[in-house]
Amino acid sequence: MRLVAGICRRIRRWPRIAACGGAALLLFTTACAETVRPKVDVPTPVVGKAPLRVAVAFDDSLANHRCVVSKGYIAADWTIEIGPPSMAAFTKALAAVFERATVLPAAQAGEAAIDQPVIRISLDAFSGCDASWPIIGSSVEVAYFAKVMRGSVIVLDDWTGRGRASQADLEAYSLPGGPLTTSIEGHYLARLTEIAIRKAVADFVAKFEDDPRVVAWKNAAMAEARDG
Amino acid sequence: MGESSHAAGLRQCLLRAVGGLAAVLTLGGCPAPTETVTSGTAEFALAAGERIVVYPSFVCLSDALASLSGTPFRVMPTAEFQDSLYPWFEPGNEPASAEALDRLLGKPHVRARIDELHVRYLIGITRRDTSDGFPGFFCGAGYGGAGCLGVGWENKQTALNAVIWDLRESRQTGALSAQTSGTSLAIGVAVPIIFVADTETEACEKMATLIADNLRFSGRQ
Repeated sequence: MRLVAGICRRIRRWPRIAACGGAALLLFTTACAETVRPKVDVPTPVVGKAPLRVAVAFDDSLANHRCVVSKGYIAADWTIEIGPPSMAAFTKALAAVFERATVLPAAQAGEAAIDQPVIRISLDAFSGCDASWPIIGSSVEVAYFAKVMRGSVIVLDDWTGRGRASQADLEAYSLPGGPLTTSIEGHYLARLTEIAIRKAVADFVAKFEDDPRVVAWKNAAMAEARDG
Repeated sequence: MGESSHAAGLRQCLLRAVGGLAAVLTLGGCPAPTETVTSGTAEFALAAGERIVVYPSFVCLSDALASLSGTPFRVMPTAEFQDSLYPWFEPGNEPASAEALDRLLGKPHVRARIDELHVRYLIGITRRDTSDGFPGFFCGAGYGGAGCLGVGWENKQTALNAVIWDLRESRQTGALSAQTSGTSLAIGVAVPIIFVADTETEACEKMATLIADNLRFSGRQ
């Protein structure tokens, strides 16, 4: 900044204002490190509520996931945190899917001996940080993986949800508000990540309802409740 | 001195007029003629209060339908439809065939929500844009002036295909298409003059008219 100020003092009047303004704008938009925190508000899913009470555990790989997108040619980078918006989206969606879905605190999330089925959700893939120059135009893909455990028995394995968002999706999704970012690239990454999360959770919920193993699980739970 | 001042004023006025004209022609452009061919038939019968939805989101067609004068049907915004039926109409997650749509509409909670929304018809849209042309047009700017030289053109075509799904009866009730072609032209003789063939808007307007022409109103609630 001192260097820029020094150069600015040497240039006179209008050229100085233009040059300094341009330099400031360039510094502001390209030489900043920024944390991108997408905000996702998924709609309440239209699904048949399963008469089941489950616990939900988010894997540490998802809850604390952080990765960095770097421009490479200049000192600018964006740290994307997809854990909190992903967990918020799943918490809301699973509340509509099950009679009761209780999110386990992080300290208990690793414990196997819980007396109800536990859905363990982890991050399978996230391509948001693979975005390269020019960042505008890149696409973002997110994939979640889940398995349902009852004690040490796997009730349902290999349950995934994938979502991909590209620049073309920005027109289709008129998301309210918007993330607080200071750069166009940060805003773009946040919006695409939000759309990809929304699509992935949708894929997850839709697959769940149509999975024959889930139907069998639901029927067994209902029979168990009936019998005593 | 007076005459010289008058001439300078006239020159300045003329320059402003040319500049203004250039700005208008460059920024706005003049519409170039387009030609549209429409085909297909569909059976629509909307009762009072029932709505249609365009899917996937296509603002151009939704706007064209909403701006049709004297047509008493209502168009549900696509984003609202997607939100209300989440996760079933998320792009990439939507039913891909008549059988899949039938299965989806067979779910009691989905059926109930669609009835609640009063959405009767889903207009499934696909679009294809093609273009080719000759880019012989250059513009440049430097100290003391700017200008353009050359001739360039682009042959454009927008094809819209609509498949009409009756969500209440769970069946396809028709297919419509509108294909618009036109040529955009840019001529540069110091001042750029641009003629834009807006094939997308034209195709949307023709498709909206085609949809309205095929609609009947039963007046039944």
